[in-house]
Amino acid sequence: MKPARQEVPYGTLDLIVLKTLEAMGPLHGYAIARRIEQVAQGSLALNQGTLYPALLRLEQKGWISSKWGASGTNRRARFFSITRAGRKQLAAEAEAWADTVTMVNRLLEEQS
Amino acid sequence: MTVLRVISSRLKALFAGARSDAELDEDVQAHLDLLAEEHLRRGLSPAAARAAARRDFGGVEQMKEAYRDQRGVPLLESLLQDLRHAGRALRRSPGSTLVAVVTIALGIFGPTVTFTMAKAWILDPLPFARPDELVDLRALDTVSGNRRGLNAADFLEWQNSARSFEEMAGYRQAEARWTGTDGAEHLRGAAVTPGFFKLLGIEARWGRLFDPSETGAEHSNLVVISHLMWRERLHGDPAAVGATLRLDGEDHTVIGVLPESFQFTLLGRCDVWRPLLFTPEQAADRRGTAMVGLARLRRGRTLEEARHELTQMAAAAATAYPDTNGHRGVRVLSLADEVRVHHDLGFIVPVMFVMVAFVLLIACFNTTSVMLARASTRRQEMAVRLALGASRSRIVRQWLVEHVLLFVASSAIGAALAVYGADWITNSIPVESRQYLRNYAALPVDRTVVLFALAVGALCGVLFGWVAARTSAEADVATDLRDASTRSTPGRKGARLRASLAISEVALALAVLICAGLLVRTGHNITRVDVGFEPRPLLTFQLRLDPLHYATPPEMRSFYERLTRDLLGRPGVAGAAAGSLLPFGQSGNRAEVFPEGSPETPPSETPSVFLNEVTADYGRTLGLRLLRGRLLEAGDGADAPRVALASETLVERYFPGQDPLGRRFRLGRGDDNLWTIVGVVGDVKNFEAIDPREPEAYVPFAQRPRRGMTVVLRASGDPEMLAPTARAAVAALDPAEPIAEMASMDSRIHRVTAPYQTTAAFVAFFGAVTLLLAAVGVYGVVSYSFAQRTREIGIRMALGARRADVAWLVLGQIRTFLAWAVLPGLLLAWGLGHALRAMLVGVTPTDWSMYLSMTLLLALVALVAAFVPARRAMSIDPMTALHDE
Repeated sequence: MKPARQEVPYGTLDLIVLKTLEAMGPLHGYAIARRIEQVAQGSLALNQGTLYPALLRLEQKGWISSKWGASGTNRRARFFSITRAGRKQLAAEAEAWADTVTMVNRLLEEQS
Repeated sequence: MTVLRVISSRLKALFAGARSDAELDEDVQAHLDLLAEEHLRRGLSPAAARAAARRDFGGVEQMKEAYRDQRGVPLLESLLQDLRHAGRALRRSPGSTLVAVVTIALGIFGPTVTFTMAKAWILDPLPFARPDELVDLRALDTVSGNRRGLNAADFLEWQNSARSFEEMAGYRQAEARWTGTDGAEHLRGAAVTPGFFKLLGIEARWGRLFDPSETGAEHSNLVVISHLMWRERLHGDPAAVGATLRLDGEDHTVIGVLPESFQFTLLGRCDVWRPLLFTPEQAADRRGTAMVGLARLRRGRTLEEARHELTQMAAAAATAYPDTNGHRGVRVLSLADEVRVHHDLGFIVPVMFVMVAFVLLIACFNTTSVMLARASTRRQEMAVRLALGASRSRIVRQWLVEHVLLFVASSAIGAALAVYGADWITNSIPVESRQYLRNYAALPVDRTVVLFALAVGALCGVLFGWVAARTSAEADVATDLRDASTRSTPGRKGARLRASLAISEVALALAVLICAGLLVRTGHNITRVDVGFEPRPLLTFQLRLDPLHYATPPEMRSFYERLTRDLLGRPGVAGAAAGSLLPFGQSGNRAEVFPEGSPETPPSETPSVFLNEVTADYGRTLGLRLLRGRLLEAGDGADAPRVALASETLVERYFPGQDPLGRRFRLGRGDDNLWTIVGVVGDVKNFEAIDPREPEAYVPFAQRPRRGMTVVLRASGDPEMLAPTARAAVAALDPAEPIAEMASMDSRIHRVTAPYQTTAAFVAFFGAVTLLLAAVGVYGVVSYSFAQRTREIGIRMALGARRADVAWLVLGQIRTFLAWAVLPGLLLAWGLGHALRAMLVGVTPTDWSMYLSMTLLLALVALVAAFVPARRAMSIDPMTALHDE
């Protein structure tokens, strides 16, 4: 049996999107969703629609920017790319995430 | 930084709503298409592929909603939505919206006009440098509590040694006789100590003003002129500076022109300003009362400290000079307060405010009532919205927005109307009186006033919107939805609220009407006050003979005797006389009086009377009431025994319980002449229509001649028509003698009564508005309640009720209103009436006939207002009424 598919942990969607854009360069919404599902290898249940408010939020904060371009099938689509501020933010959030994970792991090990 | 970026991005989105909605749609569509293609590739049918794509994507609409919330400013957006919705709702029922708009505009109009008056005359800072530090200094009669002018000695002592002040100046009224190229003319003017203008922080428009160091006698021939004088008489020529003006027979050099905006209301309009300098003899004078002091507080000193210091100095002077300073205290007020005291109209403003506030409240009650009536027809809309998930707070907000929109928009109209109201008030003030009001009584409706109107409107909107909202947000969804089909019972709460609004409205209206009635009757009485003489039709004018040409008593005597004789012979003149103290002439001399045999008491304890030197025909020309003895006659000439007329009050006060005829008294200190009372005349109002009674003595002009007199003519027709006759007569005697202040007695009296009449007209207008609003209010409530009871009335009539029974229903409702409203209304009127007491003439604040007649008037209007819906109710056809449901 497949492990139960999990919701995206609260607050990590931003981090995931930023990391994806950093790794893959400019992508449109569909491609971002696809990429996240690939990496998660089926362990993540992503309502692809929830991506758009998150993208807007990141854009408002100035961490990503968007530009209209043609998608693979020659359809107009918005392409998002990470900005300099976004890279800085990604580094900071990744570090914070690593710290959190280390801390939680240590806690779990002590308990067991 | 990030926060700023987010805010600016959100605000931008607010104005790009539709465009970014389209962009999002495009994004989503592209995404869905790509998803569907993927599913197609996996072998699904096109329809199934599209469905799968939607499933993967999740709820499109929820996402869009979350996206919009994220994008813009949700509160603001829904507020805009509320506004649009409110605008639509108001447009949907244009009739009741129009009623509400007119009602509120009329309601706001009153407070706005009143605020304009308060602002222009009371609240605005005086147009001088650091006006808060300016102080007005006068003497105080500690016996009577009246303010008095200062004398030079006291003033100079204060100026030299008082430590509470940075600077001190003094001024007094000083008219001037200007001999120009086209003859002589009297100019209003003032004499001011050289530091006066610097103290006020006034700079010359042209030339310069007095320098505080110019205290030497050699500077006495300098003069500063007003902007008006410069423009009207000196042709607005800058070269007027340095010119020579012949004033009071001496050449004066014009050193400067005052700025156009300069006005010192305590002095009225002054055209020539001369330096007030003291000879050593004048500087020692402790008797005078003509000066007023003006000072600037030293920084850090308070008015209280200054008052304390001067009080101590006055006490020391009282010990040192008991004769003159015995009962003399000091009166120290901030200049702003002194100006307020002088503005007679200032005292009306607070009472007006209360009255117009009541009218505004009535207007608000009415409007809320109308809105509630509309609300109950919108109950189903509200219920549906609630059922569909609108939060109650959203409904409350909708109400608030609707009210505030309506109130603020109507307030703007009210503020626009206030421009006309303010103009009307200014125009109702006699031109002669305007010089004593700030800005010559102009009442600008400026930005502050408009903001005030809008703010009051917004406040009322929030307040009453909230009341209305609370009632309607308590809607019970289930019942209201069900009621949609039956429409039988109106919302109980709304109905009760509307009834209590109507009752409060009627109570307030009653109070406003009664007070308005009292003031209107005052305005009516004031023109019919017994002034002690026959004021119509009289023409008056002043002469102040040139001291160079009329140096001796016989010359003065002969001039006025010839003038009155000449005038009497001219057509249209029924009587001609002259007096030194003409009623309503604004000035008068007092003289100390010592009844024969009583010792010469110190001035502080000596009674004084108004002294009127009159020509032989004065009593007959004015129509004085002779109570005893005889009037003065031509026989009481220069060489005849000295005789006098005494006023009723003089006799009562100084010869109580005695036969006054034949009694003698001396006039003025050190004057040994004895004057014998030959007649007693009734009291005359000399200054105000409601003057306190003051003793007055009349003595023959022939026995006490003077240069300055007021001539009075009794006309056989319109007194104004006699003006050319009067000018011709004076010119025939001496073409160089200028005439001043030519005016009919009627217009002189009008200057004094105008504030009362203005008030009366103002409140009469609001009384009418109140009556109208009350009628609309009662009509609204009654007709609404009958509309709600159509079915009930239909059943009653089907069961045999007659029309009269229906009429009784209406009467019953009116009776309930009145029963609840009358007592509070009367109590309110009683309280307000007592606050008005000082302004009432010839009517008491508890005049029962006024209370009764206004109550009846209001009841009558309520009945008439209820009659229309009642007729409609009576003509209900039971069949139709029941079928309609």
